[in-house]
Order: sequence, then structure tokens, then C-alpha cells
Amino acid sequence: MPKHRNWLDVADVARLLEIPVVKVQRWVHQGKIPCKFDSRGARFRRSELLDWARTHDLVLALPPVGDDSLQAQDDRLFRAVSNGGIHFGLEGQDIYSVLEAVSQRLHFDPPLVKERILEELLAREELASTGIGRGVAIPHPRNMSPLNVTSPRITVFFLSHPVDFAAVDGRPVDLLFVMFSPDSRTHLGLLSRLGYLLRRQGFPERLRGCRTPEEALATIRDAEKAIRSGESGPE
Amino acid sequence: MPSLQQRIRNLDHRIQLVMIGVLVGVFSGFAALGLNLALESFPRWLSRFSGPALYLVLPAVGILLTVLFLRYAVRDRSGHGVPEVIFSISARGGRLPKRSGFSRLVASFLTISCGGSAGPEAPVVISGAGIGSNVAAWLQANDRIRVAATGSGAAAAIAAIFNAPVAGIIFTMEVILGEWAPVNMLPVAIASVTGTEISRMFNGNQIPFRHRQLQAAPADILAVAAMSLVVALFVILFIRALKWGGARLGRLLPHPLARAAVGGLLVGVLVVTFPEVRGEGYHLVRSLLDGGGGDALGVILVLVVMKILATALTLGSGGSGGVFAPSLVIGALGGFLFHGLMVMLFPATIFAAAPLYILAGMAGTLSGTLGAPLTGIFLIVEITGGYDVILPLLVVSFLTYTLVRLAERHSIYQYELAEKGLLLRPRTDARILADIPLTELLEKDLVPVYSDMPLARLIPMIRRSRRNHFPVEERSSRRFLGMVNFVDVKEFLFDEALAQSVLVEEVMHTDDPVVGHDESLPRVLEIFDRTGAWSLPVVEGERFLGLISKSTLLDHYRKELKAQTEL
Repeated sequence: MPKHRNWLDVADVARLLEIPVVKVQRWVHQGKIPCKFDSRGARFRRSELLDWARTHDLVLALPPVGDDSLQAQDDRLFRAVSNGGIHFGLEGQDIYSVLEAVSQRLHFDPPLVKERILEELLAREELASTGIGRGVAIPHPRNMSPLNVTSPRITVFFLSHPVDFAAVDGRPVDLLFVMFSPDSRTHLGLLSRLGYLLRRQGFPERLRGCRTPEEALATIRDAEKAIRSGESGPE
Repeated sequence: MPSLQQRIRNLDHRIQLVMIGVLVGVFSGFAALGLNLALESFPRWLSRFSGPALYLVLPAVGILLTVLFLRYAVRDRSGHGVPEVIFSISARGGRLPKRSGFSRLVASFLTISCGGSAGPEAPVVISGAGIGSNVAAWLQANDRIRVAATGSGAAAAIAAIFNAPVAGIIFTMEVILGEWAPVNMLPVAIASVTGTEISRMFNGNQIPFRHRQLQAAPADILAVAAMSLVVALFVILFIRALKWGGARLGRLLPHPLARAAVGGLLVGVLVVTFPEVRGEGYHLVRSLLDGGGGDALGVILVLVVMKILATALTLGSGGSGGVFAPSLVIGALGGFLFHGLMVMLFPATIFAAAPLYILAGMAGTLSGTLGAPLTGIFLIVEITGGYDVILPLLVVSFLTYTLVRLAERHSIYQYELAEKGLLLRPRTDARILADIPLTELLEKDLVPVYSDMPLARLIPMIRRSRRNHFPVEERSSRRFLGMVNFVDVKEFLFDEALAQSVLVEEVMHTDDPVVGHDESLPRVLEIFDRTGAWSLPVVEGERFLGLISKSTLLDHYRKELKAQTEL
């Protein structure tokens, strides 16, 4: 069924209200929820449903307007990286100099003090290395609130030379995913997605083979799409 | 091409409600008219053959025919049947079987026309409700509209049979629906008006119990307040007798036909001895209001008792009919009796005429028996054609209602349901829980494990699952055996040797309570309370279906409450 914006079906409403489909069906039969009928069953006018949910104090799962797909979460990594950007040829000899170079290249709007970012990233590394193995590290601040991040962003850095990051497997790191998330739920979502992709055969290699930011972004997009189209693994 | 039903279904619900109000009002009005007509003409025809011997056996014949008709022809139950309508509205979305539209009409005609002591109102109410329910079902309307339609049928029935539109509306709101929801008022009012018009078209605008103007002095108000005690006593006696008739006769004579024959004969004896208790008894009320009933007060008291007894026997032995008319008769007799008593005790005081007390008595018994004071007040106002008696009616109705409630927690319509735990009043906890099926609450994201697995094999499953609970199944039969909790086994999991050697069946819980998939939610909550558990496994037979947890229950409960909140 094409996703028309104005009319929702029972499954859409179940997703929006985060309730089982059978409950929506029951509410239809009991006349608790406003709807019309066509040959395929109950149909809900979006505006009417939102109004009904609002007046009945029922919380919707997604922002009511502006979302053209109900699966907005399925390309979260691609979105975050699009937000953050991709940089090649980052210089540095150790964790400190690499992260300093990172903080110089990161660009926030409104601008954040670069020392502040560096301070936060270093504080996290002091507790435990973010080197998660296979030459990848995911530097991120411990505490998101002072940085006032509103949407998740990941900036990818390809290092000129591998650097010792005290990673769990001891391998030097040449690929950084610097993550900023507005909240810990988003952070966990991104982390699990990233961890899953990096464990998959071929993905880190393909990424390292990229020569332009566009190419790298496309690689991430395709890898994420592959999860969506069926071969969904545990996350 | 959408069908007619689909087109109607997609109309604004208010338009649907108006249509249903008119349609149901017409059908229900005719049903009331039909029964009334039959009950008026049959005794006239019968009077040609009258004789004591005939009246002795006639009630038994009527009740036997009623039982045969209900049991074998339409497979319906006996009694007055209003609880069925109340239950259907509270728990089944107003669904009533098709036969409800007519079965009680025929049954009550058989009972009442043969002299059984019962009223035609409840049967008409059930027919009206049945008609409303089935009109809504034909239109494929949703439950909310069907409930309104069912209520509309009941309202139209009362409105048509008494020529009392306001009483019809109030009876429906107070007794049948149990709430004053504005969404229901519209079709109920329309049906009430339509039903009344149907009845007036054929019967004219008759006031059933017209009387001359009455003046209630302060002395009368005081007297009527005191009368509430007497009336309440009669009502309690009446309710207890009805309960007794239903339960005791059933136990003494388990076979329905034997019960009908014996009970019917007893009614016949009463009817022959006291002809006043015959049938619905409105002629008696009319003669009392017209200044008849010159009997001694003792005789009147005996009549009250006999009317109560005759009604309890008629309904208890399987006759079909309602308690509306009998309570009006009891009230009228009670009022007449009390007035006579007052005049005798306080000869110096000037009281209003007896009809004032008779009307107040009727309002009182109706309020007490039905548990519906407003219905009592407005019915009497409408069937007597004036507001001149409103003050004593207000006093006696609410006082009697309150006094009766002290002795009887439930009205005559409610106690049967309450005894079975089926009394669900709108907007109560039980009502909301009744709406949520257990299957909607099932959490199915649990990963099942087999009983013969070593704990180490659980590690990948724990990683995959979002839950700490794991249902244990027997490998071959997939029979549910018990639950394993991650928290309980984690110390084994971190010890490599133990993890390899301890089996799931050695650590699972097998004696925790299990919930059947068709269990009611109040019952499930009881188990939660008793065991202090936070979640319970739900099974169908021996198969694990899912988990039900208190937190999910609360979530669904709140959503249900919010969704059904009327704005």
C-alpha cells in the first residue's frame, strides 16, 4: 500500500500509539476511536486521529508532522554521519594530538569552544579507551548536556597513520567515529548499529577503501540498507 | 460500490444516532402497542367463559405455555429479563440475540393474560432493547452506537407503554445504561418521542391514571415522609419474596414443567381468593384512584401481601413478566392503606385526598424496587398528568430509595448480576478491566529455552533477548515447564565450569502460578496481589503464550481509560 499521508490504516495507528493491532481493532469495533470504512477495513484520517489522541491525552510515538516515513529510525547511522561529515587524512602521533586535531576540525552551530570539546573527549578516554578493536575508535563525550547537542551526529575521520589508542585488541587505530548524541537512548542506538556493522565481514575494509567522503557515505548508507532489507541481525 | 450499511457506517456518528433513534422508536413503539392491545382484548374475550374453576387453572396453563415457549420454541430464559439487557450493555457492547425482539412479548402475554401476576413493561423493554440492538447490528454499527440503540429501544418501550416520554429517557439512563452520557441522550430522547407518538397515534394522548387536582399541604409532606418507612418495608418484602421465589422454588421443584404447574396452581388459588391480584393489576390502581377500595384497611394489607406473593410465585415458577406493574400496585395499595391509617390516627388533622398518597406510594415502591428514584418521580408525574404532586413524590422517592438500600444493596435488576459478579457499572475499575482481553497484554518477546540445555547455552539467548525471563519448554513436546530468571542464574553463568554442568531444569521455577489465556483480568490481578509477583506466564493448555506483567497492565489500563474518556 502506498504511504498516503492523510489516511492511516489499523497497523499505522497501532504503531503511532504503540499498542497492539488487536487493541486498535477492538477500539474500532467499540467505537472508541474515530474512523471511516472502505472495502479494506477501517481508515483513519490523520488529522482527526491526531486530534483525538491529543484530546484523550494519548501520547504518540512519533512527532505528528513532517515525518514522511514511519521508519525514520532505520537509517539513523547514515543520518548521523550526514550530520557530522567525513574527513580524510587526519594527522597525529598519539591520542592527545589526534583528538586535538579532531576538535579543531569539528564544527558546531552555534560554535562550541574547541578546548571544551577536547576536554570532554579526553576525559572519556581517561576512563577507558574507546578503541573497540579492528583499528576503530569511537571517541565521544561522557556528558552530553554541556555541549547542548540537539540532533545526533557522527564525524568520521580517516587517520593518515595508525595511532596507538590503547584499544581492547591492542591494534593501532586508523578510523574514528566521533559521536555526539542528544541523549543516551540515541547514543545506545547508534552504538549498537555501528558495532553491528563493524563486526560484519567486509564493512570496515570497504570503508577503508573509500577515497572520497561521498563514497564513504554511500558505503554506510548501503550497509545500513542491507540490514533493513531482510537480513536483520541481532542488535 | 459500498453497500447501504457501509454508507451509513461512514456517516457522522450523530447522524447515525438520529436515524437509529427514529427507527428504533417506531419499531419499539409498535411492540409496546401490540402487547398492550393483546393484553386488553384477550381478557375481554375470556370473560365470556369466566368462572372460578377456569381462573384456578388458567395461571398454571399460562405459565406452562410460557415455559414451553421460552424453553423449547425460542430457547430463552424466564424471569423478567432486564438484567440481561443491563449486562449486555455493560459487557457485550449491547449485543442481544434476535429472538429478544419478540420472545418476551409472546411469553409475557401468555403469563399475564392467563392471570399471572406480573407486568408487561419489562418484556416490552427487552423487546425494545432487542430491536434496537439488532437494528444497530444490521447497520454494522460499532459498540458505542449499538449501546445507544439498545438503550433507545428500552426508552421507546417505556415511553410508548405509559405515554411517558420523559420517564422513558430517565428509566434508560438510570437503570439500563447506568450513566448520563450526552452521546446517548440524543438517540434515547428521539426514540422516546417517536415511541410516544406511535402510541398516541393509536391510543390517543391518554393519561393512564388521571385524577383531579391535588394540593399537598405541609402536613401531607410530613405524612408522606413517614410513609416512606412503610413503603420501604413493602419494597424490601417484595424484593426478598422475588429472590425467594426464584431460588427456593427452583430448589424444591427442579423440573421446570413441574415448577410451572405447581407454582401456577398456587397463583390460581390466590387469584380466585383475591381477584384483585390478577394480571398486571392496573384496574385495581384505577379503582383505588377513583375512590374505590372501600374495604377495611386490614383487607388492603392482606392484598399487599397477596400481591407480593402472587408475583413472586408467578415469576419464580417460570412465568414471564416484569415487576414494574406489581410494584405500582403494591405502592398504590400501600399509599391507600397509609392514608386510611393517618385519617384514623389523626382525625383532627386535614390531609389531602387519598389519591395523593396512592401516587406517592407508587413512586416510592418504584424507586425502591428499581433502584431508580428519578424514574419513580417522573413516571408518576407523567402517568397522572400533572406536576401538582411533585413535592410529595420527591420526598417519598428519595427516602424510600435510601431506606431500601440500607437493607438491600442491589436493586431488583442488579442483584442477579451482582451475585454472579457480572454487575459492571460504567466508569468503574471492573468495567475498564472487563474491556481489555488478556491476549492484548501478552508480551511475546521472550526467548524460549529447553529444559535439558546447560546454562552456558543460555548466553547467546540472553544476549539476543531484551528480557530477564525465559520460558522453559520440553524439547520434544514444547510443553511449558516453568520459568528461568536471568538474575537467579547469573552467578552460575560467570563460572565456566558450573555454566557447562548445570542444566536449565535444575534452576527453573516450576511452582509459580500460571495464568490461563482466557482468565479474566480481575482474576489475574488477584493472583498478582496474592503472590506479589511482577509478571506471570500465560499458557494455553500446556503451551506458553507470553508473559503478563503489572507494568504492561498499568500501561494498557491507562490507555483504555483515556480512550474511553467522554469529552
